[in-house]
Amino acid sequence: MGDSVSYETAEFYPPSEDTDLLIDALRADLARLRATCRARPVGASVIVELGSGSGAVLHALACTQRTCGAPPDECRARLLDDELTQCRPLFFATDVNSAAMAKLREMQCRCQLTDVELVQADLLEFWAAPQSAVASAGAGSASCVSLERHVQLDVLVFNPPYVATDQQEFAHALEQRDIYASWAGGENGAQVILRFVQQIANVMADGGLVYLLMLDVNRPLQIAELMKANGFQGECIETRTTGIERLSVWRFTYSSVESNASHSTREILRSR
Amino acid sequence: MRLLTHNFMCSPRTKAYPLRLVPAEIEMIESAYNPGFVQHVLPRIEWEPLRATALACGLGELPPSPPQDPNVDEDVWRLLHRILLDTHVKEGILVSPSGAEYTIHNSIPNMLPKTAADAEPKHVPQATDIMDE
Repeated sequence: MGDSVSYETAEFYPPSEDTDLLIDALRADLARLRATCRARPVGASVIVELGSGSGAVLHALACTQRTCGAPPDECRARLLDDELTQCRPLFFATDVNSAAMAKLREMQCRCQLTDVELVQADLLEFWAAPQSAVASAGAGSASCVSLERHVQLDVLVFNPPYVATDQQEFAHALEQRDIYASWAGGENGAQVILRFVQQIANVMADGGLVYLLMLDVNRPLQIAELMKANGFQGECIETRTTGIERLSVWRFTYSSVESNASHSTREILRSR
Repeated sequence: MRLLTHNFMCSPRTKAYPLRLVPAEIEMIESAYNPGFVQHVLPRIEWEPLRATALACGLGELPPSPPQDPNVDEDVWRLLHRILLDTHVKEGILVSPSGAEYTIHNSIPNMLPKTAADAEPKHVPQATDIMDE
């Protein structure tokens, strides 16, 4: 993107250096990504991208040459192509920004991304997870069913708002849900990342992969420690320095065994 | 929004499930029937909410329990494909058990809480929480 792009006045976040880094990291990790999806039968794997913005990463993941209407330069990534899509994962893409959602919808129609579902939402708040049943029971609502099965995610991709901002900018992002929401991360730029970490504690399938982009100021090692306590083994798989910032992409692998072990450790700590 | 997606969603505020779908505009887009795909999606579906939603959308009546054998009841499997994958809700609303409404516009459900007061408490965990618990 040229210098003309303004991250304060544009309607949504345009593909930028961090977008490229995330796509490169996914490309470098393709073997693992494919193995994870192929471990499940056709139609049984779920890929979610949070904060899809203009949809460059989603397009790279979900596009198939068979049907794409995007110009070749826009479709340069075509990451998974028919190789992965032949096992037809279900894709879900979200954003809080209405302008971004409209752009995603336009791309979905143009490129015929038929197995992609778009949901305007804040992180994974919309996703029916096991705690739904518990929360509903607590609310005493008779019309709620108890969730016997919940749909676990196999792959979760997130390029979060990671820029450290003051409270005013962060509040603007939360209230306006405009382009500020694509970059304003509050204290240490980590406030949305920390909510994300909290929300994904029990939504991933065993062996599921989480790809998270972070900036050094977000304190990635500390985030990785929090993730570890929820059963995620993290590894930094790609870094790039742009200007004064160093961006990194982390891959976290979920293990329910590790998760239970961590909970036991916490039980022990609590009982002391 | 396909009905498959509706089956996966809950109220963002209370996490209540299911959301009642009130469709205003539905578009049927026929896609190639892939028996394996429907069979593998089915274990992830909550059956009762799907039955109720299919009825609300005028798509016919599903049996009281999900089909078991992929080799029999092909009509039911094909109906499932049509309901889950070919039914696109372009406009409508989703109503949570507590009465909160979420609009579907241009095929996109807007699952954002309407006001800040509606939002879940935004407790932010800190690294120290691990030891505190």
